[in-house]
Formats: sequence, structure tokens, C-alpha cells
Amino acid sequence: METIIKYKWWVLSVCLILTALSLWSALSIRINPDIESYLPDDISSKINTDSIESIFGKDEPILLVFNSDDILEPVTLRELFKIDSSLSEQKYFTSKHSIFNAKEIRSEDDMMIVENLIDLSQDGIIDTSTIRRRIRKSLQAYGHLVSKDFTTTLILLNADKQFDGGEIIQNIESILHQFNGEGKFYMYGPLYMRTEAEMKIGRDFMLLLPLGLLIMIIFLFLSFRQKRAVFLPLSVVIISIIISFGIMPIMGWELSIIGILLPVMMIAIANDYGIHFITKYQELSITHQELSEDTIVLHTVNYLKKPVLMTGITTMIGLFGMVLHIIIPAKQMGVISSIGIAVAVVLSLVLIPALMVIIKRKSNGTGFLKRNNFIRRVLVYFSSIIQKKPKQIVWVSLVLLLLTFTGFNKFEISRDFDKILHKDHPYSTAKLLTDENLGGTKNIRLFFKGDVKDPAFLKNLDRYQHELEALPEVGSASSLSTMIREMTKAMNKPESRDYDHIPDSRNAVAQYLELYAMSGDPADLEDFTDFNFEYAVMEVQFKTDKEHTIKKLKTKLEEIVDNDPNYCFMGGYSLIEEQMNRFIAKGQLYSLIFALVAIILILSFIFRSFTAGLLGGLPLIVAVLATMGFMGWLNIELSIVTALISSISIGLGVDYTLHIFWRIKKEIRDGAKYPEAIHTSIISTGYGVTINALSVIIGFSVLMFSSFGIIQDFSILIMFSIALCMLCSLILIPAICIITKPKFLSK
Amino acid sequence: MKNKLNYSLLINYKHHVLTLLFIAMIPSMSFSQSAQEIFLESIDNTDPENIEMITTLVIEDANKRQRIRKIASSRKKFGTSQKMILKFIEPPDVRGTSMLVFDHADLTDEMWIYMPAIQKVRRIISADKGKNFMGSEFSNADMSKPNFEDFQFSKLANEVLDGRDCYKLELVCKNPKTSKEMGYNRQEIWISKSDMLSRKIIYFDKHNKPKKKQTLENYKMMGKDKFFAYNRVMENLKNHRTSYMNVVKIQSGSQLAESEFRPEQLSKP
Repeated sequence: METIIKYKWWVLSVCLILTALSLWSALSIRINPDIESYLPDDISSKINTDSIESIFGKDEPILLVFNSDDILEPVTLRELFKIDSSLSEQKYFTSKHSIFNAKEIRSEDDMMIVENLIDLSQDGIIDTSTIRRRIRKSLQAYGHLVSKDFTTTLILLNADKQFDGGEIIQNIESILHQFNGEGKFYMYGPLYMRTEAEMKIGRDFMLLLPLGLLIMIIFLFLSFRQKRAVFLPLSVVIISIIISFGIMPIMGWELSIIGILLPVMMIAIANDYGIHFITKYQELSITHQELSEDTIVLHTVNYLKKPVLMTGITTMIGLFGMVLHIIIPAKQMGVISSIGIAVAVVLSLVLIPALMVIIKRKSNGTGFLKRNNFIRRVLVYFSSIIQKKPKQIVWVSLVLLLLTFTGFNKFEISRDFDKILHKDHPYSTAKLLTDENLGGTKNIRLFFKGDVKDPAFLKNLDRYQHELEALPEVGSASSLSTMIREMTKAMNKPESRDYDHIPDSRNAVAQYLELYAMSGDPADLEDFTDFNFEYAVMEVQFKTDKEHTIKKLKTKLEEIVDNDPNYCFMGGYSLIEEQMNRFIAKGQLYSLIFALVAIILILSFIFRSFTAGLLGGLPLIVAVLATMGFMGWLNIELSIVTALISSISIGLGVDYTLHIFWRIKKEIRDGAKYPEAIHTSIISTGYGVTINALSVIIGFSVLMFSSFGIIQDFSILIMFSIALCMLCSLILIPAICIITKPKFLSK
Repeated sequence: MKNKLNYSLLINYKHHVLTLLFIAMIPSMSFSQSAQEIFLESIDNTDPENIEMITTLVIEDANKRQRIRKIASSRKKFGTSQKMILKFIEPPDVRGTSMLVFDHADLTDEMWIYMPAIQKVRRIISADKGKNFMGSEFSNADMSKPNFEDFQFSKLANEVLDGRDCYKLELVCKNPKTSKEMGYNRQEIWISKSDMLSRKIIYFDKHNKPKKKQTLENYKMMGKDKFFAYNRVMENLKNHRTSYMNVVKIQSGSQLAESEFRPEQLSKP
């Protein structure tokens, strides 16, 4: 440690050079808002979906959902038509489906008539009742492109991937802005989600980091009333953040939605070591005024190096548990945050002392060191309650825990990625409208291989469709059989046996397909079968309101196709979401178990006692269980972000108990009895723990300003969890120690 | 003195000089055809009104997988209407499927289809002329003579194409309705000067991006003064699909009477 002070300028120079290099690297970070890419490519749902897309193409759909009192009101309809026509003029889309290019193929007086469902190309009076009647008869449009109550309609665009997503969305928005009628447009689709998410990730980053730093500065100044006391922890935090982000491009990693947590985490956590340092330094400056600056710094470092190292290691282990998540950004977060904490610990023990010696103090600072402030009064109160009623405290804690944990009945895992954007975002409104009125926003694709023209094959598809459409959550099931039946309606009279019926001969099927190619759009066929008629796909459109809906539907689908030799597998974005959410739950469990076990073992090692490990782990278990219950009560779902709560809160929360144990042990070693040792620990170390916890809570509170609902949820939960860890370490653990008087504290 | 003599000779014989100059200009004036004239001439050269043939239509996707159709057709002009029968010969599952098309000069075209599997003839009423012909990259519009009034013609700079000196013409749809029906906004056509035959056509979409490219090859004489392209290739430059229309057998003139070009006849073998 004397070496650090001796070579303080070298220390400073090395830190600055590393920071500069990291900053240069960090500037090349790319944002990745694509949630699908957060999963590894070798999971079954992705493999199956990719197989289907290799044959049927990978769509990039954008849904424009329009809602008004009546979409067929003439002025509204004309305005919609103008929008539709403008969209047709754009170069950004490979296809567009709407009521304005939907075709009606019907039989009339022995003629097969192919015409647009709605034709507004000529000016004139719009015959609304005829249009309404025609839409009601159209399988393609009614309930799919237009809601059954005619309040909602859909324009389905397929984006051309050679253009930038942001440019496409901007183009659409500028066209929609020209709409001059009653009603409103909303947008939905993965491209729109990604574009919005990318913009919001950037926005969050630019807002939350400075805001977090500002709050940290204010907090530090109020705490210590000394500019140096603000500057030193701040420099550790900033350098840690820069180095953490600098590592990402070097590792080939991108900034995800989860990455927004990193700078705020670093502000909240890396701050602590500096706070402990300043607290101890100020304490020694007041109590040992005769010592030189360098000596005070040395004493501070020598006193703090072990606890700071221990708390740093335990925090790193807690955070490192995130590598057990299968979600790629969560794994990366585990590594990066651990490295960031390691850097913060090293800087706190190396840079802060060096800087303290370089930047001479002007005053001792006071702030919350005033003898009788509010926090101290509360801590004194806690201490007296603990001394008088330790058993009651344990029982009350248990009851409170059980009450909170009952919320676990309502605990749910997120069923899709749609809640990433806030519930008031137009994206969420689009989803709601589509789910309620247009059959649902989710789809699963069933993949078949065989002779697609074989009537038996098509009749099976037809049968599956009927069975699926009988399910309440299924909006529609479409396949080639739908199109063949439409053609039979065009070629046969309603009273004929062949009307709306899969033909019995293969030749008839082949000829209907040929007829469709001549009169309809051949590209429509290729949504359901490949070029050589060897593969077929059935699209099942549905909506989810519960997490188990997809599971139930999957089970039903598997039952339906169970004995079909032509059935291969199922795929689709919904299944990727479902599998991802299962992985989130598993990852949460594994990382939790890892962190808990590791922390228990480390505490056992530090204090040479398994009892210490168990006792030290208790606040963490309480915090995790209570947080899960709390999630249920608040209807906060387990998502890619909230799944990280356990690891982070364990990593942070263990420090408080560690500090309390350390102090109790020291006091007893110095001759104090248990009650006295606990009282001193609570009001002195407890004070540091409280400030520490409050600074973490305040640091994470910044996330309430995030654009993402799931990050706001994370903020609430982490603040709750940290507060619980703090209260457990200040109240429950001392109460248990008074009752049990564990031997490891008196060794 | 000499100069004065030369000048007076020019004045005296100016009428003769002017006449000689005028005669020298005649060849270039008479061969300076307008774009429309060039186009009309090329159509005239290649549009036998009455013809019977067997063609192979190959539809190839971006991965070079193919669907092959063999079609027998007969085309004959009656008054101002061109009537055509097409019958699938191969593959076996569509054998016998037939189409009857009346291409009227002044009226809307008419179309019927016969499906042997269900033994029904149906008239098809469809506004889309730009629709794909038999699911290929050729459109229905490609199968009939264009309506000249629908286009604006202009000449572009001449080009050499495959060693042939060609006129290069531009045809622009006069209105959005035509453009929508045709499926393109404008086309560029290369017409070889030596024989006034279309060699290549590029179709452009409304954003002026090339959408399709057609090449016409292997022209052979039909009858006395008409040529027919035995091989036509249409490439879709957007989805990378290609369709090939290859003549297997062809004869000028059709033996069929007008009564054979009736919907009731489609179901007869």
C-alpha cells in the first residue's frame, strides 16, 4: 500500500491510459434490439423455424392496425384507400395485403369471377352495404383483414430486408401522418418493435447514465459535504463503466436491452467501495487529527482492504451467476458486470488512495456524520427492539415473509416479448386490437412433407383446420386446403357435392392449383406449399392471455397430428418466445442456486463456520422469496430483465450481512458482550450499511425513468429486494444472533 | 478574278445545286422512322395472326427448380378479334385442361377454362391483364398485341446487342391504369435494324427499377414474311425466377374453323 502512495502519479497515469483505450473501444459498440438473437441458434424452436423459413421464406411483417367506429364509413374508407395506395407506391415492401387488394373469387351464372373485394379506383358513391356483404362472405377478409364488427382493419406489409428498418418505419409513419379521417393507425410487428427498442435503448443510455451520475453526485455531497468525497467515488464509477463497456466490442458483444442495466448497476454498486473509503477516512480524520494525510490514507486502506475485497468477491460471484442463463446477453452481463466490479474494487483500493494523496483535503466534511441525525435515531430504535424482543422479531419476520410469499400464486412467466415496450405504447394497443378483433397476433406453423396434391393429404389438413378453429384461443388456421376449397366454390354451384370440398382425385387438385395460378396470385400458394408441392405448412393464428395458452395449444396440436406420417414438426416466432421464457425461468433458478450456494460457501470459508454461511444466506433467501411473492402481488412477470433480480440482489445484499458479522465479531473480540456488540454494530457499521443500501436504492431508482416497462419493473423489484436485505441484516440477523449466540462470532 | 467567276457559277447553277442536295438527303429522310413506326414494323414482322404450335413452358424458381408444361395452341384472327385455344398436353395431372381466349380490339377480352377432372367449363372474368400467364413470369399481356394508344413512344440511343446494331425504343404507359394493368411503367426494347425484330425487352416498375427482362431468340421464318421467336426467356429481376417458352412444333395458319373456338368445344378431346 505504501507503494501505491509512492508511485501515485504512475497509478494515475496507468488508470487514465486504460480508460482512454477503453473509451476508444466503447465508441464502437453496436446496439442489438433483436430479442430473437438473444437466444442461441441451436435451440429446437429456432432450428425448426429456420427450417420452415428456408423453404417458405423469412417474412418481416409489419401490421398497420386501423381502428375507428366504422371503417366502411365512406370518408374513412376513401382516406384508408389513399393510404393503401400510397403504401403501394413505396419501394420498401415486397408485398402488401389489405382489403383493397383482397380478391373475391366466386361463381356466378356459370362464370368464375375474380375481382377486388373493394374497388375505389373510380370516384363515385360508395355502396357500403354491398361492400359489407362481400366482406362477410370472404374467408380471407372477414375476421382476418377486417374485424367482424367492422371497427378494425389491417394492412399487412412485408418489408424488403435490403432497406434499413428505421428508414422503412419512418416512411410508413410519414404516410400515415397524411391520414385525414376518423380513426387511428397503430403499428405492430417485430421490425417495428426492434426499431422502437433500438431507439429507446439509445435514449435510455443517454438519459439514465447522466441522471444516475447526477443523483450520485448529489447524494455523495449531501452525505459528505466535501468535493473530494464526491469526485473520488465518481471517478471510480466512471472509469469502471468505461472499462466495462470497452470490453464489449473487444469480445464481439453488442448492447442489448439488458445492457441498459449495466451503467446504473455500476453507479449503484461501484459507488459503495468509495463510500466506505470516504466514511472511514473522515472518521479517522476527526478522531486522529494528529496523523498526516498519507498515514490516514494508509490506515484507511489497511482497515478496508479485507472487507472491500470480501464484499467485492461476493458481489462478483452473485453477478457471475448470470452466466448460467441461456439468454446470451444475460451471460454477457454476468461476465461484464463481474469484471466491472473487479475494476471498481481495484480502483477503490489503488486509485482512490493515490488521488487522496494528490488532491489535498480542504475540510473534514460532516454531512451525515452528525451525531444525532434521523438514520442514527432509527438505528438506535432498532437496536433497542432487538435487545428487548428478539423472538418476536423472528416470528414477525416469518409471518411477513409468508404473507408476501402468498403472492407467488399469481407469479407468472412472461408469455412473449410484447411487454418490452410500455403498455401505453401504440405497439401494445395494436396488439390488443389485433388480439381482440382479428384473430390474434401469434402464430405457429405446422410443417408437413409429402405429396401435397394427394387428396388424402389435403383432407387431413382440412380436418386439422376444423379441429383447431373450434378452440377458443385460435383465431384461424390456414393451409393449402383453404385455397383449394375457395377454388371449388368458384367452379361449382352451392348445391353441388364438389362445392367447398376437397376434390377426391389428384388430377382435380392439380387442375385447381393450375387455375389458381392463372387467376389468383401464385405467390399466395407459396405461403402454404413449396415450388415442387413436396412440403406444406399450416399457419395457426391465435392470441395469448395466459402463459399456459401456448403450452396448451402446443399439446393440442401435437395430439391432432399425432398419427400423421406427413407431419414433421412445428415452428414459428411464438414457439421461440415460449422456449425463451422457459429458459428465462430455468436460468433464474440455476443462477439463484449457484449464487446462494457460492455465497454460503464463501461466508463459511471466511468465518470458518457453516453456520455463518447459512445465517449469512438467510437474508438473501428471504429477499428472493419475498421478491417473487411481491412480483405476484404487483402482476410483474418474470422476463429477460426481471430474471436477473436474484443474482444481482444476492450479490449486493450479502455485503450488508458480511459487514455486520465483521463488526460484531470485532466488538466481541475486543471484549464486548453480545447485546453491547450488537448495539455498537447496528449504530456504527449499520449506519454505513444503511447509507450504502440507500445509495444503491437511489442509484437503481433512476431506472424508473426508462422507456421500457420491464426495466421499470426491475427497478421496483431491486429496490424492494435491497431494502429487504438491508432490514434483514440490521434487524433479523442481529435478533437471531442474540437468541442463538453463534460460536463463529465469538471465535 | 477566278473567285468572282466561281461565285457567279454558283449563283447561276444554284437551282441545280439545291436539287442535288435535296436528292442526296432523300435516303436519310425516308429511313428516319419514328419510334412508333419502328415498333409497328417489328410487330408486323413477328405477329402471324394464324398459327398452331406446341410449346414447352418451363417455370424455374430462384433455386433452379423447374415446373414443365407442354401446351398445344391454336390462334386465328376473325374480323377484329384474335381467338386462341390452349390445351395442356403435359404433365399428366393437368392433361386436357384447356383455355379459350378472345382478344378483342374494341371490347374487353374474354376467357374460358375447362377442367377435365371435374368436367366443367367456366368463363373467367378478371380485370387483371397483368396477371401471370399460366403461373409463369410471362404475363397475359405478353401473349397479345399491345394496344398502341396506351403508350408513348420514343427513340433512345442506338446500341449494339450481341453483335447486332439495334434501335433502342422506350414505351411509356400513358396512364396509371394502363401501368397497373400491364404490371410495369415503361419498357425499353432493342430491335435489330437489319431485320426489325425485337431482341430484348426490359420492363421497369413505377420506381424506374428494372423489374423483368425478356430475350427473344432463334427467330425463324413463318410463311412468306413473318418471323417467330422460337425461344423466349423472361427473367424476373426481383424474385430471380425465370420462365422459358420454347417452340417444339409450329405451323403457319390454323385448320380450325371459327366454330371450334367456342367454350362448348373445350370439353371435346
